Amino acid sequence: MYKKNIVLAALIVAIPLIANAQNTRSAVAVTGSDAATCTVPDPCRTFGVALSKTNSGGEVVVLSSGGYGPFEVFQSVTIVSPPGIYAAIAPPSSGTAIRISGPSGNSVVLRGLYLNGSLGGFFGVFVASTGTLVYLENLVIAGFSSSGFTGVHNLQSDVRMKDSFLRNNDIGISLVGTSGTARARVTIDHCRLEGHTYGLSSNNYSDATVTNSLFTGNFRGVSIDSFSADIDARINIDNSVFAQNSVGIFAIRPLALIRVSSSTITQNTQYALDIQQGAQVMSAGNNVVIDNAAKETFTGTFALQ
Amino acid sequence: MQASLNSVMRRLVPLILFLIPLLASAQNTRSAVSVTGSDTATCTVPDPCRTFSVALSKTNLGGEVIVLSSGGYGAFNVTQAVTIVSPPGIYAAIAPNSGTAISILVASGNSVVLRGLDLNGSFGAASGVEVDSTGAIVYLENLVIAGFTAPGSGFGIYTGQQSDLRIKDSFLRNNVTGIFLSGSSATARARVTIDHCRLEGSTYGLWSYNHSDATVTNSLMSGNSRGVSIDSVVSDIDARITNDNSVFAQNRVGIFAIRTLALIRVSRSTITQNTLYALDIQQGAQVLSAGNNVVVDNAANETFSGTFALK
Repeated sequence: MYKKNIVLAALIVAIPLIANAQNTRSAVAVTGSDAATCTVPDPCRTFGVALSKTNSGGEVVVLSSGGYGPFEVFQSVTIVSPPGIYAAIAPPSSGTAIRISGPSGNSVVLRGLYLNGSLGGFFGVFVASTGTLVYLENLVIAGFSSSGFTGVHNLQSDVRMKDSFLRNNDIGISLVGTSGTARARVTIDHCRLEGHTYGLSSNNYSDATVTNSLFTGNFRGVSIDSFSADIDARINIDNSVFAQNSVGIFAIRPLALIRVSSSTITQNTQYALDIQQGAQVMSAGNNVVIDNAAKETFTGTFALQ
Repeated sequence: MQASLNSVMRRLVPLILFLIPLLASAQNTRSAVSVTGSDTATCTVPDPCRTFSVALSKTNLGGEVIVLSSGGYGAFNVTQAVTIVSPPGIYAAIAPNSGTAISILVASGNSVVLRGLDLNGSFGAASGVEVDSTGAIVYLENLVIAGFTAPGSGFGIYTGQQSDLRIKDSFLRNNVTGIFLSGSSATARARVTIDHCRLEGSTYGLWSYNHSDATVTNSLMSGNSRGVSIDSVVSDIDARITNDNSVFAQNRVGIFAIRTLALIRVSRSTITQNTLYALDIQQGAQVLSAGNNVVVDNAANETFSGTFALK
């Protein structure tokens, strides 16, 4: 009887371990099968199944060019499509290419993927979780053009976006926090945001730092806008270019605060700076603001140190 | 029986006529080309075509064509909104003997994305990318466009229409003219943003002609007869160029502008070791400085025509 109990206890311990036998490195390929083990020699077909067979903190690599279908991420993971592979996620007719859920503190890396909304997809990357660290690197996110929808939508996490192209989405990057202390935050470095209604749309409770980036051909390059209430949103912009948009920078109401340094705002066809109802767009005094149709004056300055 | 058959045929014929165009327009949202592909294939990833021309004809409006293997793919025309991508690691060359490597002829408002291609003019083609559409938005990314030296043409990128070109991370080398811009009127302008590009070994790196706006950022112009140029042999030219954080080195002339409507602004840029002039400013043209440029070690003409203030 005592021995039986030991065996039973051992089985109870072992069953979840067996169920959790997972890969530290999973793989997907267009020739793979979702009945496979999702390893490099035996790849799966979709990210959804590969993720379900990957340890938290593990990685999923792409082995061949093609389409892989939308998926949701619940765990810490690194997903890499290396240079030389064209891995596309193109949601059919609606929906989200990559949704990031899961508990606070997770770290998710997406690298080298092409997100294509031209079939009617609503969101490229939708960060639904709170307190997740999301690293977006070398992505192309294009064609999420349905009105009100977005290339990258961040509700209340930290997004670190680098070396990525956002093109022809309705909104390139949208930030919405939940309170003054639970903010949506993003750093945008070496990115290009082109052909949007709003390149970066910062909504309530959000912080953005934009560096070494290019905004062209948008209705507004960056925008702090709201139809109704005041918006607690701040954007710092350094060494970036706003060229040939309709409006380079837009801000409205007193809590909207944008600071601009070492940047070039030029050839915008309506306004360089559209600043309304007490918003502040401050300059470090070292910007080129020239050859715009109108409104080339900042509301104030801040000192370099 | 015959009457019954006729009755069936009368119903079938309209159905067949209805279905034919539907079948003919059955298209891919993602097409693929490969050097091992065939133009009789379906042009999908598992069954790729051989040429872009056929792949494009089987691709939906707004779809994409991707390149699966390295090699030459032949010249083609783009007549629809589309994204064409050769990912890093693939060398997809377009090297025709004559004419234009890629001609863009799309409806106004259409977006065309060309990414990662190598356009080679050394076999005699006249132009690399020619945008002949009004109102097209053309994204040119990670391209190499080299060797378009045909006499009388030789354009890396050419547009003579109202269009928006967004050129990033591209190399233009040894063309007669790297990039040529000309709009059709003062309100129908050819516009380009050039970011993180290198324009080298051309007669004109960037040639802005009438009714054009260019913004050049984070780019290098070297080894050209002129780095950027607003030039016309005849009349005044309504053209503006904003240059920021760019380098004009070891050209013959860094920046050239002629006549009163030509207006170039330069900020945070370096103009150095140009062997004839740093700045060749003629007949009332303006080349204005933000006062934070390095203009040094050129053979002559290092003085801007005026300044503008930073803000």
